[in-house]
Amino acid sequence: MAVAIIPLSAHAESITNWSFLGGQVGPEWLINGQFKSAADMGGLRIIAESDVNVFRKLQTEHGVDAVEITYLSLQKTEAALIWHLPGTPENEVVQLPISFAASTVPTTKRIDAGRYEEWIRHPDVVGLRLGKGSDIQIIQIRLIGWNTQEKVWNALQSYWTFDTMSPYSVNFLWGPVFTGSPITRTTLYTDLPPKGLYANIVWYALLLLAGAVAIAWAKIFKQRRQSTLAFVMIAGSIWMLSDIRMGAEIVSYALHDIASMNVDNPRDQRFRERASFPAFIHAVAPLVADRGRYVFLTQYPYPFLGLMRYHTHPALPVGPEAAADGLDTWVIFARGDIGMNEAGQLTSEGKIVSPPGRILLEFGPDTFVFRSGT
Amino acid sequence: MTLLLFLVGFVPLACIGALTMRLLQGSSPVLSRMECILYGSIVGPTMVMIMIFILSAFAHVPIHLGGMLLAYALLCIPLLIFGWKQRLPAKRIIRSLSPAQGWNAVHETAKEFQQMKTVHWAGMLLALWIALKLASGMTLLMMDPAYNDDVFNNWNYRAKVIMHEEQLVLALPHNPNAIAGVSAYPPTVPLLKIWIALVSGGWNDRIIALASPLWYLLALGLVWSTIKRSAGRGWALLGAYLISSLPLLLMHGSTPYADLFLALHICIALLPLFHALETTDAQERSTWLRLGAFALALLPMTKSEALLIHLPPILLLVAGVLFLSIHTKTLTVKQALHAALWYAGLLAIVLGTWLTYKYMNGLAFGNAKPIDTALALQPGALRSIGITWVLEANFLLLPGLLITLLLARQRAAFGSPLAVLSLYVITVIVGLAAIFALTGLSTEALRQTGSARGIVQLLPVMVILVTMLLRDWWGALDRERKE
Repeated sequence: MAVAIIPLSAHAESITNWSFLGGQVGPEWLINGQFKSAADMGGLRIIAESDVNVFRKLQTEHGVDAVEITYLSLQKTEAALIWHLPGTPENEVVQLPISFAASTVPTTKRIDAGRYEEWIRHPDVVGLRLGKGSDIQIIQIRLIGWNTQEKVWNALQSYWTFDTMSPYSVNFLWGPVFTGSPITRTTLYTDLPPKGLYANIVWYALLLLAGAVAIAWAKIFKQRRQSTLAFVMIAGSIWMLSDIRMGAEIVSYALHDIASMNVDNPRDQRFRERASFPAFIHAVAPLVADRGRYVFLTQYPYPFLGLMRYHTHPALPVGPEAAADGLDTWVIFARGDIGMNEAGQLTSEGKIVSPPGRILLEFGPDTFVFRSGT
Repeated sequence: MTLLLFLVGFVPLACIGALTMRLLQGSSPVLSRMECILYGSIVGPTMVMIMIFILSAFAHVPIHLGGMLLAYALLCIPLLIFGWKQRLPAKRIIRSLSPAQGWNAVHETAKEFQQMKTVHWAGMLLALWIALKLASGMTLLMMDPAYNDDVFNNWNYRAKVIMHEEQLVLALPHNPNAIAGVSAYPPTVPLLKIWIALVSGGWNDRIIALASPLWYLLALGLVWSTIKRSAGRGWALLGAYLISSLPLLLMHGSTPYADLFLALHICIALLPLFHALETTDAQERSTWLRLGAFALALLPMTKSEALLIHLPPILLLVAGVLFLSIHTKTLTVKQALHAALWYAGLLAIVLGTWLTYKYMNGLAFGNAKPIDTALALQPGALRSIGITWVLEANFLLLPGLLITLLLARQRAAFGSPLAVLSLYVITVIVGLAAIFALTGLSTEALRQTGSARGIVQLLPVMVILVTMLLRDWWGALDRERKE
């Protein structure tokens, strides 16, 4: 089962695969610290009673750019990828803190080690450091190296990887970033700031080089006009390429909005990072229009409180403490801790917070409008 | 329908602006019809909103449709009477200062005809590409015009509150016991939104948001017409392409923020100085300076930073232009004094009113926050500015191009009328960098919330400067070839 779920890195050129399935833990693996372990069909389970290092010597012919660890863990586990640099004292290892999310199904943690300055492609020891209290089942560790051709291809693809429209897009746009790693490329605009090389660095470097060549050409061959023309052509091409790239990104924002908003039921609309909130406001506004003030509760006061204030003006959203002033309408957005008891009262973690009333609008399991006294 | 309702609100404002521009030119008109419309579309809304502000703040005239129409009438009627008394011709010639060097000359040869055709097709392609990007921007805008923080917490929210209360409001409803930081911003933009709302029949986010794409198009139009006047159609096309290709400017054309509004006002305050230096005719130069004086007076009423960052360098440049005009005997001392009086008088009226209001109500003189006078180098701020301004895609390669051209074409950049634009751009960029690097406003640079928007306000001027320097460079190469 686990074998079937383990993702295949079909495009990786060179892979070293260390599988712990079927209890395969060879003598090359060293584990130190206080721990309990069990190697069985599902992999190597380690329960750390102190900080524990799990490591082995590495002798691969290919360079390593990324590490993939497939695991099971009932709890979130803080750990570190550790490696040793050849030529440095044996007890000196480099540590890269990582965390394994809790998962009851085999999950792969992908680490783009190559993006860290301290990483080298040929470390002589690689392993994991698990913190005290960790309980994790390691199924497989894969070391992946990409060749130059693949890195270039990935960089080209990353140039055409787009960000999505966000509140920050009015303040700045990250723009294209080159990265040779497919792992980084998939999280380019979700793991911010983007990791890679700003395309403008490449273009400016290229233009500097082209400028130097053009100057030399003009001086040596006395062809100033031709060399200038060539330079202008290069600069113009880069400019237009950048324009097309960024124009396409903005077009993609619009297409994404159209696709996510063009659904039959307005409640199914998912607007950018605010998901169903705009549709919720649209449904709520008429219900509070004549209330003057109403209670608004959400997990995310920013930006939703400001948006409620704006869209329902002159009705004013206030905190629950103002309910004592006789406010009868409660607008609840994404608050799983708030519910209604059998007596028709709103409760927060079991504590009654309102007089009896009824639900005016049920928008989702934890999102609704309640009015007391009706 | 949305567009039509917006235009019902906007066109009367543009008309009064165009009329003002026409009257300011007197018997020595300098603006082409297109420029008159462009300048008028920028000054018209602002001057009417300033009048509404003055009536409301100092005469307690309510801010409802009647009150706003009263303000409009108080401006429009005297202008119409004055215009009728002057009996100025409605039409004037379109001037191109250097037609021989531009592509406006009569094209007789096949080569020139081919060039015209190429420009024509390039123009068509460019228009299509701009239209596609603008359509995408419009889609983003129309999906949710109140998406961004400054819209629902500042510009639009203040407008809604003022419209509801029918008077200027300093403390916002959610915090009624304290003056909101954003109340220190001039009320022009919120008042303009209220005007559009009232004239178009009620508050509608989508109708009101259309001001932003309009400002975007006005910025393109200003770049086009300015370059066309000085360098011809081909270079104007290049300038229009350059500005339309800047991604962050398009985002501002698709977001109801006010940075583009300020950018336009900077342009029309600064460009008359550039054009004034381009002409050696005393009357024309005086006319340009009158237009510049009027536009500069409106500038502090756009955004707070206009008063602190943009007004001082432009005033210094005005002094420089006047001094140079006397020195080169293009203007007599009397004519220069006359121009200076225009600047001083108009600025005193508008700025005096606004500063009095600020002082009376204890409003901050910074942006939404008071000015930070404790100077210290803020760690990481300069690096962050560098990334935002140069490495990210906000302005494509414009910063690098600008620096290269300023260095390579120093003579044109600092020894011709372009010096007005060069000195202004350099001063403001250095000033912004200093503010972000040395004051508490560094958070705006580190979080990238304000540093790129500071440059957005300069973009039309930067693009005009870059295009004109490119043209100068090209001209030099052409001359070399002929020699």
